[in-house]
Amino acid sequence: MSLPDSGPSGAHALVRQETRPGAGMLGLRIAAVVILLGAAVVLIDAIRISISGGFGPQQPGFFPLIVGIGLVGFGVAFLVRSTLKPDRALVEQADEEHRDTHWRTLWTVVVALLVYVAVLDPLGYIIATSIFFVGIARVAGSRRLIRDVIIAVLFSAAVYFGFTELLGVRLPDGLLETVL
Amino acid sequence: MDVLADLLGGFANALEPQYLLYAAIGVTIGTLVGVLPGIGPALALALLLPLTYGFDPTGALIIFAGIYYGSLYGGAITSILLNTPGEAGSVATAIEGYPMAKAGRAGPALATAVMGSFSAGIISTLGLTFLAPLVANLARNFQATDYFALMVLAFVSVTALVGTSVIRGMISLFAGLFVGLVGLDFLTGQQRFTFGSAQLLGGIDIIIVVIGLFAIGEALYGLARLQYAKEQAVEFAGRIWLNREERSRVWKPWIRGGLLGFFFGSMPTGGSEVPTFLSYNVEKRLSKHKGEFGKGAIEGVAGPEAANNASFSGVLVPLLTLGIPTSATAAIILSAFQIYNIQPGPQLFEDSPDLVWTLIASLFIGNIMLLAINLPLVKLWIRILAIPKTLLYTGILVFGILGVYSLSGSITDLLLVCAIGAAGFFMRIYDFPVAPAVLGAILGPMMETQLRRALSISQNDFSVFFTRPLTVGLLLVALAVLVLPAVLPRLLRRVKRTDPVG
Amino acid sequence: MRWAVPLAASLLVLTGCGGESGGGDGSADDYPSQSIEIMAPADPGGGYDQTARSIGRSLDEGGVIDTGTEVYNVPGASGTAGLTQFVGENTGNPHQLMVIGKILVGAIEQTDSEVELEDTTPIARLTAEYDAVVVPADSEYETLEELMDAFEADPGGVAWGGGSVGGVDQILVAQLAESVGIEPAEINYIPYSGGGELTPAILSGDVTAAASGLAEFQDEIDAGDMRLLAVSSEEVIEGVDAPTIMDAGYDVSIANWRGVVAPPEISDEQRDAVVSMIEDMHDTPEWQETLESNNWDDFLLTGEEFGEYIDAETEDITQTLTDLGIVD
Repeated sequence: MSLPDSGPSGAHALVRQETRPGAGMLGLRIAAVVILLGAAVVLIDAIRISISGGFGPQQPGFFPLIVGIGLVGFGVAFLVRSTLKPDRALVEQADEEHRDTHWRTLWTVVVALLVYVAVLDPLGYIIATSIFFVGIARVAGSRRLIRDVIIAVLFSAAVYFGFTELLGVRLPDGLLETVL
Repeated sequence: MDVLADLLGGFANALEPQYLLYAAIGVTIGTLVGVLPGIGPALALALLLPLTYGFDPTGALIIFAGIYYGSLYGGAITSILLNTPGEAGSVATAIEGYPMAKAGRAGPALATAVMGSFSAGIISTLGLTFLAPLVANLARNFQATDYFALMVLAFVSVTALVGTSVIRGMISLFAGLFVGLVGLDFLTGQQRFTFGSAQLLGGIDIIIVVIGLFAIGEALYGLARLQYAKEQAVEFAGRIWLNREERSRVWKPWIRGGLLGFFFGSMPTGGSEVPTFLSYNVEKRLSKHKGEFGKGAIEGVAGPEAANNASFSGVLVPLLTLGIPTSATAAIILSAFQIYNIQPGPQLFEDSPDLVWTLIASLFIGNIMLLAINLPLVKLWIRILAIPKTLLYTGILVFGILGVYSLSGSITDLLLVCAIGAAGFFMRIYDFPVAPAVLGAILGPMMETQLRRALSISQNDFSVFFTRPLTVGLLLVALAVLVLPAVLPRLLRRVKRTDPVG
Repeated sequence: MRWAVPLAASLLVLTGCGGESGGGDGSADDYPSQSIEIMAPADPGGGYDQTARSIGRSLDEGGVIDTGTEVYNVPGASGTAGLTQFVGENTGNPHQLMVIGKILVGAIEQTDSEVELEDTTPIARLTAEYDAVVVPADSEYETLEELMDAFEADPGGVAWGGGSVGGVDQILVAQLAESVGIEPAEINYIPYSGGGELTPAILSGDVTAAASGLAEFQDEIDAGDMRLLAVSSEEVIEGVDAPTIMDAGYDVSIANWRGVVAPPEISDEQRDAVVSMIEDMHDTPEWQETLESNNWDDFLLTGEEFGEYIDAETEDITQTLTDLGIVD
């Protein structure tokens, strides 16, 4: 398998050549490899659990082993169906989905989510959520900044006060700690 | 009869003003959320779980039941008008409902969906009323081996949800099973798949899985396609009522759908997917208007939508009497029970009769409210569809993160939900079915625990699985279910092939 | 992200009313000067959560303080996630409290938690619940002695049901076994997630006998579906028709206690102020009603004595868990 980059850069290539044939196939193969890698990790850890906890069906390692073997087995089968014996209908569908997917948006949103999660505590709920909201709306194509900012601030403040005051759920104050 | 007296007591409680108010709030919020494209009942409940923190158990469950019914109803609106079913259960509704809407018959489609839901809701809640106490009584004798056999039956039936590709379905199922195994082993305390993270010791909450796959995954999918998608204008006018001809065409599908939904909902692998599609196929076969199917046949909306609604009361049977959640929705309702330190199971009807019967009574009330309040308000709900998609998907992301944060406040959980969301996106574009993953994560740990408990109790004597009649009976049913799909799809395919193509 | 903390700190300084500093400069006289936050290191609904909310309610409604209370939950890692967060984020802040209990002591060992109870400031032990040893009503065992004789004769043949691994119930069964010379490794202990799951397993005859909180079984005992053989308290419990395990002839008693601790590095004056606040809370009618309605035994022990109690418990529980092979 010569699949160097499954990351964002690979995805950008797809954006430029949206109709390039085989994008779906490539994606499926990457997916198969990712599944197999994950399956291998699961199986190895399952073996480790079994060694320390025992292999019998009443022991903690039994189900993990079944799951590990099952994942590897079906992962290999999926790899075969995406390489040696391609599943025609699936490849067509994947091609179509790839054509309809704006990959840069996807990866930007994923990264934005991670940043949002990371800054939630230090910045506080209202600020982090407002920034995230406006940012995502913009990435997704909204060009009405003022409207988005107003909605974002109102929305996150409403959620914050609703949850903390009415439902007793703690949300981080962050920078606004002294004010709230 | 005892049951009727209990039910009347339940009504006496549920009709108290504050509970009526709760039911109304639940129904309204549920519809509001359900009407948002892409949000189905399971997700609505997962996102709104924190709402229950402020109420007493009965009140919270009434709100929850209301949210559930409301979101089903809201989901029908979006399925019919926008062709964006929020959950597997409303996919069948969209097949005929959307063509009806395009042909300017959205009103009758919505009306049959609402009234069908109502009739089916009443049928299936009656079913629940009479069946649940019986099952609870029976379940008092259930031992670990019987529970294990039930789980085997459940997993065998999951194969029915696997969909078109066995390989992808099984990968999805095993991935779900893996998620269910993470954490401290329940019986020995050994760490499994925690990869050194203390935050994973407690396992991965099913709500994280549901929010990840449904909310984050769905929003990512929606956002990534936004650049290319054409906004569909929602056009809607005319009566939301059924004329005489339509009425004569839909009442039988309502009843059939209600029965199918309740029956399959109460099976060990409940959920709404199987009964809705079965109902669709049944109606297609029985209809005198076969030619309309695919182009907007009203029976194709009436049956599946009834089955969808009815399956909920069905799912409540194993949940309330055995403590087994057989769908994502049920798993979240179980979480709500557990927040109040209530464990559904054979004891529930004895220990908390007030709660159970008030809940069941409120299901009747919720159904009536939906019919009475919401039918006239359809036009109001449709306005919600005018929310710009960018804001909608962003809002779903924010709510998803909020739902997980309010669960634990843990950054690890938040990262997990993002990862599961990304996985959900790719599952969607490469056509991996999601239901097996969710059920694997819910039922896998239960199956493992019961197997190992049974073996511990018998001191590793496997014969316990073949000496108890109940266990053997359940295992035989499981075997039958395993064999049936080899025959059933062939039958269904034959039906499809005989349909006129043009 | 890293700049955010200094930025937040400087903002606090600028505005001059930093929330964190509430305890640092304040003398004990004006304690509490802000709202008391109480952490329950578990999901809503469980014993920790109930205890935390009851304390909060008694402080507020009992008129002990007028600055308000807030209860929050940090579930995860059997309670140690909450402990880690509590110690890590609240050092020196006397307005923060956390509910702890016997189960947490075991969980700390079981999860190899880096933060331990030693890192906190003990305030008060408040409540205790006792375990009951029960069998199904149609069981052949009429007394604890009969059950224990069968247990001794064939340790694996008696399937014991109880709560989660490493919890109070398993420790009780292990100590019962040890009292008659049964190796802990031979015990056939089957954990259940709680009374709701355990009760059906007892009634269906899945397990031979079970040990768990008395309150979990009260309804079934009253209804005659279960037979109560003994309770784990040191003295006979009023209104309960069963001997203690000690009276039945086995040198075992166990109390599932809960209490509160404060963060590390608060001054002695601050600690005394917190202790006296909790003592005032303990005397309110609201708290006494809570004890009554939950069937919690009044188990008050404060300050340093509570600290010594925790140390003794830690040693005791660690020993039992090691014997059971749960902790290495």
